[in-house]
Amino acid sequence: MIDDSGQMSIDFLIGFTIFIIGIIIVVTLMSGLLVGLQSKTIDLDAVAYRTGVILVEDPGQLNPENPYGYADEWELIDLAYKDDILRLGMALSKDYPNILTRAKVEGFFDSSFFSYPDDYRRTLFFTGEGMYEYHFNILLTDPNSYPSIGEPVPTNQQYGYIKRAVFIKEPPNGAEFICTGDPERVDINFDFSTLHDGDRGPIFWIDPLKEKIIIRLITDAGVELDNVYLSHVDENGIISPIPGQYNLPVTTSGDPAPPYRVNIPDDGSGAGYVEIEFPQGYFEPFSASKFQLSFDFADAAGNPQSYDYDYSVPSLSSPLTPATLEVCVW
Amino acid sequence: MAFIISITIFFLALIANQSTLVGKTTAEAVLDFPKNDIQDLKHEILRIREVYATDPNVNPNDFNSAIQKIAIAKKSSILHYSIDASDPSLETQIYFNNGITEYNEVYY
Amino acid sequence: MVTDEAQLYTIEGISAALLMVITAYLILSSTSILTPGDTHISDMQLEQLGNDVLKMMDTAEEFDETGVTIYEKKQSYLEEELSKDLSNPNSFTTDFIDKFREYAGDDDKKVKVFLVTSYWDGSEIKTVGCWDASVAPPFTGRDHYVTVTRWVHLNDPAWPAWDPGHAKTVLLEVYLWRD
Repeated sequence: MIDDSGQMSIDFLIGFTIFIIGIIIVVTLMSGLLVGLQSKTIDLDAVAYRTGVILVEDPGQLNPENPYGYADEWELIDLAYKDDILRLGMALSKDYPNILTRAKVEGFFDSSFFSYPDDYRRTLFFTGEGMYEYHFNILLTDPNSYPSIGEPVPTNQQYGYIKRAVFIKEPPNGAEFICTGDPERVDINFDFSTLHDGDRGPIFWIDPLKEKIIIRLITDAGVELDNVYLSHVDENGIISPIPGQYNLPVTTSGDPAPPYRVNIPDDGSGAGYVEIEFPQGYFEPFSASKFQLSFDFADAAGNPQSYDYDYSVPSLSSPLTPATLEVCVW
Repeated sequence: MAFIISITIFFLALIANQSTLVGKTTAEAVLDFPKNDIQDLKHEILRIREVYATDPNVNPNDFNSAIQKIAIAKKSSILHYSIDASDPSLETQIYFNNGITEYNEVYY
Repeated sequence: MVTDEAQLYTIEGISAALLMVITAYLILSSTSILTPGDTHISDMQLEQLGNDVLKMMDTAEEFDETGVTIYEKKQSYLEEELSKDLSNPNSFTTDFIDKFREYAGDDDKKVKVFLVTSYWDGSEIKTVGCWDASVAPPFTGRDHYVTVTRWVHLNDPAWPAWDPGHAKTVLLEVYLWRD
């Protein structure tokens, strides 16, 4: 029984057509609305800004259970305890943002200490395995050097960028003491409480616990250096040599020492010199604040000489160095 | 059928609409934090403290009125400080309020 | 064979279409779109740089042992310059621009500055004429600029002429824009 009763009525068709046209208009209008929600862009400028703030305004942080007992002196710890660094920052302290220390700057850009890129990613960008791997380039522009870490900045891609202007606090210049007259011993006195001068404040004072100290003696040519040792001075003035701190390594205008005894020849100017360098953090383990560094000379005719290592030494502290730090992240 | 579709579209679009505002206000809270203003103010108060703490002629709290008037007019923020000159540790209190962020500090 | 049966189909279709179109229109008209003016990210870089440079200018580069008071020993560039007699601001203007560019990194010659110094004289806020506009980049207000400020403390200013030596705290406002 074939007839035409199975066809749809024309009213239904008209209604359905109007409905479909309506839905097409709506979907066309709405098509742009949800597109923005699908993108996976990270706000790279915000990441760069955050990294810039951490580098410039934060002194860094060590795990509170680290074996040294330091809070933020990550530049002084040994390679073996590198994982105790929670956060890298180059500032002098939380109270002095935008002032960086040279020791931290050198430590940060030292590729033999931090393994690129994992250590930086862990302590600066806080991403680890399985998370987005930031590519970065950090460049410090300083009048004398341009250390940088990271890959070359891409030219065909958007990247987040921030530039910060900073001062770098330099370690003290070498202190020179004229010790002619063939003394039998030269004593250099350190009083840390004088060096931590309240008037100068942490930005301008010399901190022997965290900065490297260089001392140079100008001596007569031909003297014989017998021993260099460090003693601790207590509050009554009693001097006691620190065990193990003798035969300290020095460079001279002749052979280096140890082994002692060393002959100091003429360096061409009519005098000889002995130079000793204490790396940063050297005095930290000896919990004392007054020290005496002594140089013993053999077969000497003159009396012992004594000098103070304090701000009376000419041009001991250096001015702050201006620099800019640029961070690019992509 | 159309009811269901239109209600679904309405609901989804409402979510999409509100999400842009949510992201914006969270980011704004970070961008609006007056980090530089507070660091600057703290540096200034500590400088005043350092210069006048031992000076018998000048009371370090005298600069309060000038700072308050300038801050209200130029930076739309309320701030005041007090330095206790009789205390050997020079306890300093700093207050800052710019309408969005309020900051209180006691510094020894 | 057109009759008036099944009109409900048509009515349903029309009303459904109308409903959807009106809904879509209502929603789209109420969406807010983030315009570039709302996001301050591009300004933030310039603002942060400006704040950093002002902070550097307000920090002494070296401890001056020869200073008499503690103020002079740690006197910064801004404190020193603004304490001087500012009746001829030409040298201060050029010096400030050079120092700003030096601290911001030499390649930022496109950053232009303009500055205003305000102080409180006991009854109203006044500004000091410390900027010589003839040697500085012209400030029209039409470029998109950011403002950064710095409090500077002057121990012994040489101005105002009727009351010099009165210690005061002034606010330095610097307008920065890129050309």
